[in-house]
Amino acid sequence: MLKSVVPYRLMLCIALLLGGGADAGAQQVGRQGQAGCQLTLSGYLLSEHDEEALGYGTIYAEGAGLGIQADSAGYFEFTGLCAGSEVLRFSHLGCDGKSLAIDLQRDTQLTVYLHHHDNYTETVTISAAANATYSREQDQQATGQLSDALERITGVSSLRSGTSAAKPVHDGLFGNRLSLQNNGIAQSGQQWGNDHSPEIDPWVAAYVRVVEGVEALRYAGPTVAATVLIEPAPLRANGEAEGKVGYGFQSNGLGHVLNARIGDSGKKTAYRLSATGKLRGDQQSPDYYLRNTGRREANAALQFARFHNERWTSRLYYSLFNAEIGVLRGSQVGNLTDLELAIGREEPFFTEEEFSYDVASPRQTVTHHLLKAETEFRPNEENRFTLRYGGQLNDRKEFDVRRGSPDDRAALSLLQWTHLLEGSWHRELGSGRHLDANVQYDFAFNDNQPGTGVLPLIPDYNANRASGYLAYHYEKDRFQYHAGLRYDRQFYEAITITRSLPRVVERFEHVFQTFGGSLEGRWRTNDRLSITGGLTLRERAPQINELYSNGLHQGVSGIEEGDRTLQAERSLKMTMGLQLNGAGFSLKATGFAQPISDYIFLEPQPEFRLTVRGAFPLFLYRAGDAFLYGGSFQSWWQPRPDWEVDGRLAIVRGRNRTEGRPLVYVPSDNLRLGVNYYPAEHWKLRAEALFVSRQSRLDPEQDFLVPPPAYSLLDLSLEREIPLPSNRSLHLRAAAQNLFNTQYRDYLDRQRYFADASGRNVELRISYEW
Amino acid sequence: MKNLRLIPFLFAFSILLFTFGCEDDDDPIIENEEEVITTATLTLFPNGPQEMVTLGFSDPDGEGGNAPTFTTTGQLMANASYRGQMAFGNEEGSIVSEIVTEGAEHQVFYVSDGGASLSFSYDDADAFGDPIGLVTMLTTGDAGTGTLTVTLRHEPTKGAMGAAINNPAAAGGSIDAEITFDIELQ
Repeated sequence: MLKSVVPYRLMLCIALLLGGGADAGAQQVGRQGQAGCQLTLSGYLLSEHDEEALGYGTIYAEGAGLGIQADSAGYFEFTGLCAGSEVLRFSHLGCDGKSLAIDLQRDTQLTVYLHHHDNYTETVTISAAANATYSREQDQQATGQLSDALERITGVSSLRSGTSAAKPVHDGLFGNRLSLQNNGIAQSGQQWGNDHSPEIDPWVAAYVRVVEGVEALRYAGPTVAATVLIEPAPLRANGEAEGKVGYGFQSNGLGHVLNARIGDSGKKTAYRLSATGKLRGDQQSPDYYLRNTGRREANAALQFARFHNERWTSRLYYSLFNAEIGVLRGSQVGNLTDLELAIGREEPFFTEEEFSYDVASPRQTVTHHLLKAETEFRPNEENRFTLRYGGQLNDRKEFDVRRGSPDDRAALSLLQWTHLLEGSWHRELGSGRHLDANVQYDFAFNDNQPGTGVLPLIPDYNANRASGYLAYHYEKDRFQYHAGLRYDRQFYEAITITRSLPRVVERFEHVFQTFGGSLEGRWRTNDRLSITGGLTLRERAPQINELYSNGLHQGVSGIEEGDRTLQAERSLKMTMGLQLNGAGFSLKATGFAQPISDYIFLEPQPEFRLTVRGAFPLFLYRAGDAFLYGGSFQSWWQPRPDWEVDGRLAIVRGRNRTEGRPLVYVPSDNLRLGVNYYPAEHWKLRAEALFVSRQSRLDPEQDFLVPPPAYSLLDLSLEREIPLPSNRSLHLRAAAQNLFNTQYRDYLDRQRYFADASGRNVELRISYEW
Repeated sequence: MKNLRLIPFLFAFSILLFTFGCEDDDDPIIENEEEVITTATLTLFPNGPQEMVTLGFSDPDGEGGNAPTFTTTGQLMANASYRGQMAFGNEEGSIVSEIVTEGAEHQVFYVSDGGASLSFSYDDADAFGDPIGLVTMLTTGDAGTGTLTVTLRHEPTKGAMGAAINNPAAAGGSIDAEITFDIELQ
């Protein structure tokens, strides 16, 4: 059979191999032509990432009006099709329905590669909570922050400081307990601060997913269960020049977002260059402007790949993130009295009548560089070796409203270098069985930059870490299991300054050895039902803020003191899951229970600390026992080819057993319901409703303010794709978030003490792709 | 194969980063906390025959470390009038002149509580004619014991609705200093 490559590029389908497809000189034959209606169209749906089969996808042939479902191996077959042009629409759980036009002349076989990670995580590891959004949807999130994309994953919420910062919360854990991997490198920086968001541009990220268990053991970073993976789309050889330019306007904050991406790939090299610029002014709540909540961002990323030969590939990745972020002026308060005053107000202090693009203090500026270089060598079919270097430089400055200092003098200025060296090995052991192993060594230097006039909250420190990881995967058709082990040795040298006079520099050293182990299994009882289960033991070394914080944490208006005798946390997470797939529907239910011993938490002290600025609440880091449990429910239903309904429910409970109290910052129960409607080809209408209940499981003395009431929001979006000649396309999108301009405050948002969350936002976006 | 040269370049770059990072093992520079207020003194000059009174606060090591200390000299008398002079400083010296220079951005408030009745009024002004509060007039009431809270606010809304010398809450702004003295009126 003649093989020809049909260039077809929508984000969904990167490549399409046509066997016995259109001959160049073939004569156009009508639908009822002499070939009759005897043609067979068959093929495989494969994941672009690792060529794993994508089972149970649906394929709809529009011309013939036929819809079928692929089997578990991703194989599909249409029989009795008529010759002529045919439009095929492929869809899969978590994907947009996408169409593909072909000219059918004879029996044809297709191999369709989809950008789809749901299935990847499902087959490579069985993590029940593993989930993914996918690049096309990811592009639509480019106007927002990374957290907006992460929140679309079941079980993920965001811990926020208004619109200025947001970090993911997964199964009740966040910050130091949920590490982020930016393109395979543990994101460094000041992740301890709840008012610091990860410095990643969502425009570069094509895949965002959460992995647990064996898969999570592979990665560095402090975590007690899950890891968030953020990855750009991989570069492949023999592609074509491609690009995308997008511009978006946001009505709330009069924001402008410009994104661009160009790339090319040849036989030996491939590259992609991405850039983002953002400018946004004050956000607006339904009743007032949120003064000083503007934001400026300029980011760039370069991916480069060199395919030396069939066995050897090298890759380079560099990204730069640059942001200046305003923090709500009325949220910087002094002592406890101030805080109480600010909380009781109708609208925040310093609220202005007029909109402004200005960003003044309090504000943050962050610059983050990430350089990754890796080379992969495959001496034979069985082995794959990778050598990787990852270097990061994080420069964070925070500016407070200060007395007697110029506005450009930072109150916190931290510079952090991190370097990672990793060697990894992948070994195939025969059909469906393989080994994964890696060794890592990394070190970090964290330095407070002089000139702030403030004793640092986090001391200078040097750290290094060595680790080893080994996993065995057994993936047969009906039954799969995975087992993994990890060992880390973490060293810290903290260089502290005494609080008593005279000030003296003191050095302290720590070594923590931590182990991790995980065992997961999946049993597919039949083509429709699969059952998963997992058991993961992980230890997490205390982080530098838990050991050595000392001073006023302006972001939380409290004095925090670390405890240098803290030991590693130990967590055991048990997960169970059930997945049911059928024609046009999918249901997934998961549950987890996670006891954590020596759980490190901030304990509020009964007495206040008296200072010249009055009394401040005092918090000490302590170790206790915690217990988290919860579940999630995910469903997808396609009643008709042009309708899709999806729903996601997440419930988490957490208890600090030492204190006999609920854990703080546990997300309240939330439900997302979405409906997609495809009124015509290239049109898509989506409505999504979010219901968040009140967090009622908190003791009144655990917070300054009772958790806010339940709320619900409605988002609406309309998209149109206009195909242009020679594989170009124009994409138009109009969307409204918080359509009804609902006034609400979210429990996980620190800004809720001071102001309402932002109101309606209408977004207009146009993008052109070639 | 030109691009192959990139690989050694990368490793050279990494080594450069390593070296750069490793050099930094010096002791950190201890910050000069010139903005931190560590002392506050209210001096009350009698308008009559009474003795001069000073109420002092001192916390030389700042927010952490040892607890602050309070000192009082002289005896505050009931039903008398005084002229108050408030001073703030730190280990570098007085910062009163700085507060006066940035007068429009600062205001001092005086709130008495408990059985000591102290009635303060402003006796100074910034460039816009609004009070700063470093200089005050005090009239004391009947004998009793209570507290006096002196608050220095940064960027208050001067003249905001309800804001008065004994109501800092309505003025907003952030607190630079808030000190509560025990008061005994004889």
